[in-house]
Amino acid sequence: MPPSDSAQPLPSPTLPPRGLSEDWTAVCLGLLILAVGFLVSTLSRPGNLAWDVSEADAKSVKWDSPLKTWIGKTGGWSTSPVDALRDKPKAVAGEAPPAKGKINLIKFAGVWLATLLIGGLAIALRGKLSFGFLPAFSCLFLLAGLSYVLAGQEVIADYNLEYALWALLVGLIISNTIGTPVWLRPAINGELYIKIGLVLLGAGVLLGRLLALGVPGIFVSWVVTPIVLIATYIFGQRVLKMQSKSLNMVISADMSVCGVSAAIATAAACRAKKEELSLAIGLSLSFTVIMMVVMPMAANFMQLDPVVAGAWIGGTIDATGAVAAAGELLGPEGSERARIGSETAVTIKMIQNILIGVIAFGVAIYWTKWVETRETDQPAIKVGVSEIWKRFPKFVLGFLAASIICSILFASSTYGELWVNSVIEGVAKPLQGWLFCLAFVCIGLDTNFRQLFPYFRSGKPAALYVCGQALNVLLTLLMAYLMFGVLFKNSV
Amino acid sequence: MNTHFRQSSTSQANSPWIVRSVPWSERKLAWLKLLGLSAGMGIIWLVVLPWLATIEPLAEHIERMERQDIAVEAMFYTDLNWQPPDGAAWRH
Repeated sequence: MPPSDSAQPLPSPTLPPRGLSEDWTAVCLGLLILAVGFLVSTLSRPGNLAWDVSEADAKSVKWDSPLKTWIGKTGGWSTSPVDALRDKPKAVAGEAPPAKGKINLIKFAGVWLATLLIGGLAIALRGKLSFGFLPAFSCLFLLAGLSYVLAGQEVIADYNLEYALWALLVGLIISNTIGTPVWLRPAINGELYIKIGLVLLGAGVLLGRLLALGVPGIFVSWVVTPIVLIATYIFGQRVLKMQSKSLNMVISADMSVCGVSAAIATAAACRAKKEELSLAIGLSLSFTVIMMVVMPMAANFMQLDPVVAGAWIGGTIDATGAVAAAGELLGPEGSERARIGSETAVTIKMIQNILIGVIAFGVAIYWTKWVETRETDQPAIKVGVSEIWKRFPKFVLGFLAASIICSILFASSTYGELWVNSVIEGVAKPLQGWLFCLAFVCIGLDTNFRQLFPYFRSGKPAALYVCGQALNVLLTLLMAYLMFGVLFKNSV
Repeated sequence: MNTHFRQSSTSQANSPWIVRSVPWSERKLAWLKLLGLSAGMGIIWLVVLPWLATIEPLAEHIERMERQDIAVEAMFYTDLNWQPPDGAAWRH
């Protein structure tokens, strides 16, 4: 039992229902951050960039948000963790680039300030901001930074063991040894950080990119994925008889869509328990390590065409980075097979990544209308629109709004494409990463190892993952072969 | 209240948020556990993993990914240092 100082039960870290609701706070703040990002990018537009710039001219234009230098994340390192704080080495004109860049603490100070403002504003909007928030948040930020540094070690990064896992571990170690300090409580609000992060993630869900591989790509990503998700969920309920529907759904989604990011979005949409999200992420990352090694070997053993093999890998391996790595391993370095395999795999994965919004929306509707009513023993009651609206996780609307706005701007012109990219690269992506990292530290700090044991004992989550993934591997191979190897063989 | 992560049914009983008076010996043990786990992680990250990175198949894989500019740790496609091929349909 974690030791502590007095004998008083403390209130839950969840904030009281004063001020704006958690969902609307996340929507407002997420969209506000994007609006500020667009404003700053507009003010820093390169002077020679016209509204009607052609695609050819745009290639010579570099449009970076000035916020990019202030909002950064740790880098990779090999032997010394201090290297994680360095910038990438920059070459001076006429000279070779230095082996190591300079240590840059400004970007960490910047991201600390930005996340502190976001977190502080979120709590203020919810009606409760205390002086204890500043030291508590600063400590939480250091723990998140430590998690990023752990994830940046080159062997860890090479196996796609993402920061979410280490953030959970850091939080779990503290909460299960000395206990979560009371003074950290004002900053522990993992759900809120996740929801704001999800709204920012929506900015990167650009619907126009669905067209990347045309009809065959959409078939592999958008037909197989929902079939596998629904089949795995039904298998979990009917065959494995899993007690927790939300755990079943989170594992089904992270296995069939895109790993950790899908698990986060689905868990928030179906009100999963924190430990269920932790378990699903652990499962996904463990199997990703195996699959990123085995899948290219299997594709090469079967002598699959690189496009078919790439589509197979892109449609089955959970994590996006692991897909790129596995695609590259389809052939010797620099070979055409490796290049085509990697490009196809990443493009299929990108189309699948975009599915995350539709899945989160669909799961939210399904949970609101069917699952929650049955859990409250009211199957006969017809759920009206107002009730659905009341229960619906509103942050999903912020996610969709960010996606639609950015997709329209991105597709409008080459100028819009550069504009959206500058905001995603400079603001949305780094802040979303830090917010997720903070959230996972919070989840770890709020989880007891003992809550995870029953899940491991039953073995059902792992069985669900293995069976679902087996179906995914077979169906995706069939569809990839049919689309890229038979029907559209000459058009890709 | 509109929260979308449910609380575990056992979380209240085992929660570190429930503050109890704990004897000094137990508190000392808890700190020792934390120090032990931290030291273990330190050894893994500062000694074992750097050593693993020098073993040939892994070292070659890491170098290849670096040369090809592949961010293996990417969570979402926007984390990849990847640009779509020029002929992609959405590029008009």
